[in-house]
Amino acid sequence: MEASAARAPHFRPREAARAGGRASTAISVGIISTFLTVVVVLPIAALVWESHKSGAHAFWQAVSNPLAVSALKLTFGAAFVVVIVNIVFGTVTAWVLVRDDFPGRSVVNAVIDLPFALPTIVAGLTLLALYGPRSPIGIDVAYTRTAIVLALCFVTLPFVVRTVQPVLLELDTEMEEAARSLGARQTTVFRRIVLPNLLPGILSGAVLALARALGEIGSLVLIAGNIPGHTQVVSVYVLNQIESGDPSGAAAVAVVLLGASFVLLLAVGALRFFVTRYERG
Amino acid sequence: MAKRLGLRAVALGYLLVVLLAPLVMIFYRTFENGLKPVWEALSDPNTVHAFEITLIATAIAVPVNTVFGVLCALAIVRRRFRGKGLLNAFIDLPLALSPVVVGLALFLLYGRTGWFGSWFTAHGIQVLFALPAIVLATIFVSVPFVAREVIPTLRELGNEQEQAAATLGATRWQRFWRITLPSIRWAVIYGVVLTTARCLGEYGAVAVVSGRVEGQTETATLRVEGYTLNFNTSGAYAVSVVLAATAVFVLVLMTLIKPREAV
Amino acid sequence: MSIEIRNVSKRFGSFVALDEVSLEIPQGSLTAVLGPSGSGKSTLLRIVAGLERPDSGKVLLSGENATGIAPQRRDVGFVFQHYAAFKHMTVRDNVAFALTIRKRPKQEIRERVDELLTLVQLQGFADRYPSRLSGGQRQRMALARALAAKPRVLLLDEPFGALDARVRAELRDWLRRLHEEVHVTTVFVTHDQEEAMEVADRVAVMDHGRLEQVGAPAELYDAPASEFVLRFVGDAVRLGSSLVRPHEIVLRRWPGDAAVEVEVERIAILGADARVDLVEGSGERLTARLRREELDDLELVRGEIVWASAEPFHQARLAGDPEAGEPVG
Repeated sequence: MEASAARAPHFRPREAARAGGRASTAISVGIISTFLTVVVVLPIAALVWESHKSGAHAFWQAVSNPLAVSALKLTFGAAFVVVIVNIVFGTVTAWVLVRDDFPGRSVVNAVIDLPFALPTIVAGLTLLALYGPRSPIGIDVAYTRTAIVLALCFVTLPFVVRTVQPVLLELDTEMEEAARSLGARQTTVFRRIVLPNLLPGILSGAVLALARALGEIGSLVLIAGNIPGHTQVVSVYVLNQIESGDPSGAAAVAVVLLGASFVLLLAVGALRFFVTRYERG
Repeated sequence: MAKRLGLRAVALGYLLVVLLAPLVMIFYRTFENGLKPVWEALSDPNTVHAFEITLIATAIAVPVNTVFGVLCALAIVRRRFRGKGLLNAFIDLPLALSPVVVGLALFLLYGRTGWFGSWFTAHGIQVLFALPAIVLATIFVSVPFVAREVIPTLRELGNEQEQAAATLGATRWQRFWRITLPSIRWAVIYGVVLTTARCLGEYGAVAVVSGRVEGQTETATLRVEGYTLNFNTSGAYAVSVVLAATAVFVLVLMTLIKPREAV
Repeated sequence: MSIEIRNVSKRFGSFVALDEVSLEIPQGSLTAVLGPSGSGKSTLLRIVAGLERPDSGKVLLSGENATGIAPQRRDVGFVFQHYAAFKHMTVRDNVAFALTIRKRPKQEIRERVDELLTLVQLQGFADRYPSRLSGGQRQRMALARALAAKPRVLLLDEPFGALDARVRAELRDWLRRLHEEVHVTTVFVTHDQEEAMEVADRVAVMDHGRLEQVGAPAELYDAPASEFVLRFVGDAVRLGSSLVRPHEIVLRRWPGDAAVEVEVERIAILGADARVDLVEGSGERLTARLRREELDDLELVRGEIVWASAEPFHQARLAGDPEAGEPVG
């Protein structure tokens, strides 16, 4: 039994790597920066360039086009609904996986990651098979907005579950026991003790799910029907614009999505920072 | 007690409706009419070629992103330099970005009038609507995974083991090879599994940049779409079932490796 | 190998870790560097090992300037507080590491590892992984590993700090006996003065980056060079206007020369000793240590008023004080 639970200290790594350290840092940072620039940064730069190439007016026209607007509204709307659903069901699922025990729990736990492993187009096809025209259980929601929400629920399912699980695992049940010994009822304990601690986990999962939902395409192409103005999400709209030979228009709308992605990334980063700050006290 | 069962029912019910039932459907529908239509679809040369394209793109993207991911993690965790925040942001970007946006970005960069595209066209090399574009798109979307898995592991590890190795006489290369790499191997493997799954499943970006020419620039995922749009449902299911089986295999690997990651 | 540390200084940002520290460590000795947290002792040790570089000053190993030399070429063995075990290797591979990377023949490695495992009493554990060992076992493995390549110096950074009290005591004994068997110049860092006094031939006391005193344990205790050393090595309490050691306080029922009137607040029996908490008229508290016999003779009771003084021949003196027998002021 060890007296202290201290983890191995992080002694100034740069000191030990001093001999030739600065040169090799420059080299490795150079290599990864170059790779990232060529693979990620430059294409994005080209995209932003294209969207502004013909001036602000053209940009605005492309974005305010009624079909584009309708696609954006639909996408954001559906995404928010899905995020709410995920917050509720994701938290419940994480709770059940951590606090409950039943035969097959480990299998269920493994299956949560299925949307990460399964190609989105296959997901779309399976949803179509089950909840489309030839549905064996008689539910046909193909080519409706419900289908969009359903598909998005599938692909975003793991996010909140996986961000909440580790928090729940680490959560000191002693806090809850202390609260109960002081007279609090189960719901109060959940509301005042558990939930505040879960919140950062829930939020970061929700933000990740939102980012995913906004950009999703593979699972939607088959089941949503992509009826312009009705069941066409932004990603499909952009695809359409490219195929109709209007890359600039597509780029303008794509940049809106890009902006949303950046904002969401910042939010995740801020949440992470917040959480560690909270822990450090 | 009732509350516990209630919660359990809600969670499992949700998972059943959204996740499990569709998965089971795929296997059911595929073999509904026997093996023959499945075999026909899978042995169609265009389908075989589609699988080949997918595998080639994956076979290139995975090692490239693995090396990148490990180098990145080492630099971010062990070194001090400016711009780490920016670096982190761009590594994470592919996770938050719509694949169609990725495809469009590549389309613009490598198109005939693009910054890179014009150079390639002038030299007679075709990037867009050909294999190179498919590979580039696959690399882009799978950039983050290895880095994201290795970084926290490397952080947890600290560098005391390397210091100890130094005092025992190990050179920098020996420390890297015998201590650093073995210590992160499970994180790397897990990252590789995630990367591979992402590469195999990529659709949106390649839909934009590949041109979708049957027998030439189609990937397996595009093939599924192609079959469906042509009302060849058995073909679509056949390819899907192969992809789904691979996904289940990936899932098994993930489940086995995940606990080992936490060293 | 002898070690000479000459005028070494080191700062981390605005924090001064070491301030012109000079210390000589003779060949074959077992030296403790003792001090509270932040005194710079670990930094000093790491500089000797080459894991940190001094801002100024030199480190000489066997008379040669080793200041710029990387740790892997210094021929030092280092033991970390948290073991730094190679988690992905078995105990055998851990201990063999120094020899494996020097490409020694397999047979030689096998024999040496077996020899070392026997030395640290981990013979049956060769094929286990460090995660399956207790803290004490891991530290013994770390020691065996450090000794494998026959280093000329063995450096230990708070080696028993992360261990249970009883394991600590066992390993202390064990380190002493190991040194007697292996005779390698050994330096260990600790904040536990009892550990330093018990194990080492010589103790170097540090505070706030400065070396306060170096000498044999008895020297430090009997002739402290500063108030810090007096307080840190062994206890010291304030009696009236001077500093004395708790067991040097004598309690009587009548006032005497330089005696202070005190009330007995609490008596705790600690086995062969007793601890008596006293309060002065001014409200100041102090503690006296008495032998059981002394306590029994006095028939002391809680709440009693007695007279406390420090006996001349027991008094701690600042080194070099011309008037022997005077209490420390």
